[in-house]
Amino acid sequence: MFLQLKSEYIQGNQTYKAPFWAFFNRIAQKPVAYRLETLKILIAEDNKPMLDLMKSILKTFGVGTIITTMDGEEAFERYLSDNPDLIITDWIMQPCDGITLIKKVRNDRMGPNPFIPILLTTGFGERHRIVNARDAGATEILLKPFNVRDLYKRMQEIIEKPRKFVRSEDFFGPDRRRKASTEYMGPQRRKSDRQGTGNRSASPLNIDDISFE
Amino acid sequence: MMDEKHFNQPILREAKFYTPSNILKAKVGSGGIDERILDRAQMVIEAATADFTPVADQYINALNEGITAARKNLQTTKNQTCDIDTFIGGLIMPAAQLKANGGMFGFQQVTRISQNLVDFLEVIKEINLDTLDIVDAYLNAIKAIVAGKASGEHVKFADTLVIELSAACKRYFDKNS
Repeated sequence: MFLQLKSEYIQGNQTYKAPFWAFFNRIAQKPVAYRLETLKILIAEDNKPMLDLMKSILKTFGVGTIITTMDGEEAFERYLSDNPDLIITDWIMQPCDGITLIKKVRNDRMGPNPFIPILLTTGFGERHRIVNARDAGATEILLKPFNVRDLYKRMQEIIEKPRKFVRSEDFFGPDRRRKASTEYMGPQRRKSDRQGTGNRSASPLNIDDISFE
Repeated sequence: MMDEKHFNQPILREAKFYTPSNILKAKVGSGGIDERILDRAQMVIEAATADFTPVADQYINALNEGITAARKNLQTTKNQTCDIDTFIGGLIMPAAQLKANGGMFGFQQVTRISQNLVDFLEVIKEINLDTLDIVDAYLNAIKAIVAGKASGEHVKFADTLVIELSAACKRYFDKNS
């Protein structure tokens, strides 16, 4: 069947309106956007104003379901019961912090989805801290304070460039290798070495900047 | 030919790789988020300036308690230094929280000064009286800025504070290295 995205077509001397094709044309011209209303996001943050702020930002994005918790233990319970699509957790919380939450999510056999993307927010930007978070199983890290576009870029990375997962003797979590080196000019042996060339966050240190050891 | 590295034996403890389904992508599709929505969300952050003072007070009190606990330990044990692993958390955690949250609620100078403090605490090798005097100085600077901003006064001396505090840190490392 020959499809034409035209609102009218000419046959002989007659011009015909084709509402069916016009409808398709209108749809084709309409800008596409993420359907965030389908998402369920779990936030773990013990600072109430920050928690409310994060919820407001995600609501403005259009996220459909936002579950809020104020510590890692509660967040883990809600992860088990609600099976969210994404977890955004702060690092420093008491009694159960973000790192402990991530390890539980990754390693608890009763969990609904150990592959769930986890975005860790933190004020710590030192390399050894980022390595610590990476080795716990965080998918991405967002340094605070952040702006909306930093958060959006991290979410976009998670959606568009999902990491493979690796299980070794002492680790289960996202593949910690996704470094795209701009210095090395030799042959690329692995296809995965050519990944990670998309937009980088404005954060000074990115989980991708940590080379695999 | 014998595999000398592995003695011709099969490798047992190999890492396994998984490619999980991209559930997020399947749910949200393509296209990103419209710039106007991002602008609107950024305005939510710009507007969130009123709630920080109680939060700041919480972290300022926590930092104060950390300093007090370390000083008490030095007085009690009569040592030159206290155990860094035991006491560093009480100092660096509230400092990191001030750094993280200040800028989110319009107190960029709090973030700036707290970042300086976190940088200092990340590299010290011991906690002694000089260390605690430096942390105290940072704490007082943060208190002044929170009070100044909360009262509506423009804190003009924040730049000077950062310069003076950085100079104090340099003197500390000259003395304690």
